[in-house]
Amino acid sequence: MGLLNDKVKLVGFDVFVVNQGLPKIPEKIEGLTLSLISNRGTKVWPGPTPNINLTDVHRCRFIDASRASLTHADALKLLAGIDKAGFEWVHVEKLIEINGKAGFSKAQGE
Amino acid sequence: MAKAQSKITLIRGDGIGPEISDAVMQIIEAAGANIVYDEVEAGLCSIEKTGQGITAECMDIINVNGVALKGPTTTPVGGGHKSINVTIRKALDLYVNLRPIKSIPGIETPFKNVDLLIVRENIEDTYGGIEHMQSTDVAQCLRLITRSGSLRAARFAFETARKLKRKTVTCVHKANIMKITDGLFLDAFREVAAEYSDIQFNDIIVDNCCMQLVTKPQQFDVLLLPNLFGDIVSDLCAGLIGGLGIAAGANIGTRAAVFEAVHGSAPDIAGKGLANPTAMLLSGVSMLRHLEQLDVADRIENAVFKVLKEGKWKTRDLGGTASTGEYTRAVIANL
Repeated sequence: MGLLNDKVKLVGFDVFVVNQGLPKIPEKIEGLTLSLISNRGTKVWPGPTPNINLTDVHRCRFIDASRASLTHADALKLLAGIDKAGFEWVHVEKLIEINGKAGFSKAQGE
Repeated sequence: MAKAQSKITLIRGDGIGPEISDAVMQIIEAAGANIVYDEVEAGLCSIEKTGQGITAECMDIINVNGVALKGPTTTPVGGGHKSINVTIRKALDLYVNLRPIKSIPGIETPFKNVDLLIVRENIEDTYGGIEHMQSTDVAQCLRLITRSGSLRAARFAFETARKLKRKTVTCVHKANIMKITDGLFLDAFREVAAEYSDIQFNDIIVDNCCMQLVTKPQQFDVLLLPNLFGDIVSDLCAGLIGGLGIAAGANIGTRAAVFEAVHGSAPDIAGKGLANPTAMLLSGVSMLRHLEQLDVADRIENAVFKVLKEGKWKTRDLGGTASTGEYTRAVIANL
C-alpha cells in the first residue's frame, strides 16, 4: 500500500523555502497555483499577514486549480521554477487525497 | 490611588463557558475591579454564525484591547475546525503559556505545599499542525523548534523567575532522543541561563520529570518546556493540586495576553448550574494582577481560598454539592 495505490491522487505540493520575511514567490509556476504560505503552521498569505514573529522557513502550498491528478514530473518542474525565481527550497511534501479525502492538514487561519 | 479603568475583551466561549463567565464577572464586579468588557464571540456560536471558530475582526479587537479573559471553547475532534485556542495563540503571537500550580487550602490531594510555575512554549513544536499522509500507510507531523522561539521562551522563564523571586528554572526536554529539536531548545535554555547569575538552572528528561512530579513535586520551582510536553505536564501538575477545575492559565505575548480556564467546555453539564468557575476566576485574578489591580486580585483570591477551605460551598467536581450560583454567592460574601 503506497503512493502508487489507485485510491491515491496527487493534488499538489508543500514546498518549504528559506527566506527572511514573507517570500514573494510567483503565484503561478508551471501551471500550478500558489494557494497558501504559512509560517510555523500559521497562514501568512493570502490576506493580511498577522503581526507575528516570522521564522525563516515558509511553507508554500501549490495546487492544480483544475484538480487534475499530478505526477512526479510536475514536482520537478515546480522545484526548478522556484529555483529559477531565486528561492532556496529545503523540503517538499506531496499533497495526496486518499479515497477522495485530503491527506494533509489546513494551516492555522486557513 | 485607584487604577485607571481597563478595557478587556471578554470571550464567554461555549458549553459551560457562558455560565462560568457570568459567575466570574459577578465576582470581579463585586470585588470592585475597575474594568469594562468588550465582548466578542468565539467557539461553536461563532462557527454557527460565520463558519469560523473566531473571526479576524474578533482577533483584531483582542489585539487592540491587549488583554482578554476567555471561557472554554469546544474544538471539534478530527476533521473540521482548528482549535480556537491554538488559533488565538498563534495569530496573536502569545508565545508562552503560564500555569501557576499551587496547593489550595481545603482541596485534598496526596501532596502538600506544591508551589511551582510552568512556562510552556506556546507557538511551535507539533502545534504548527503541519501534517501529511505520505502514503496510505504513513502519517507524518512536522515538529518545528526554532532557536529564536526557544530563546524568547527561556528568557521569559528567567525574567518571570526573577520577578517572582523564584530560585531555580528547570528545562524539561527529551534531548536524549530528539537530539536536534530538543537539543536546540536545551542549548537556547543554557545560553539564556548564563545571563542570569542570580537564578539557578538545571534540566531533566521529561519522562523522569513526570515520575518525580508524581512522587515529590515540591522539589520543582519553575519548569520550562516545549509546547507538547508543556501541554501534557501542565495538566499533570493541575492534577497534583486538585484538577483542571481550579487551574489558572495565561497566554502571554509581547502585545497581548489572554487569560483562560485551561479546562474544556464540558458540554455534558452545560446549562445545569453545576460548573465550577474557579479556574476561570483564578485566571481572572492573574489578569487583574497583569492589569496591576493588585488589591482586587488579592481580595478575590483570598475569598476563593476561604470558601474552599471552609468546604461548605464546594462544587461537585471538588466533592461538594454547591451549584455554580451558590459557590459564586459564597465567594462574593467573603470578599
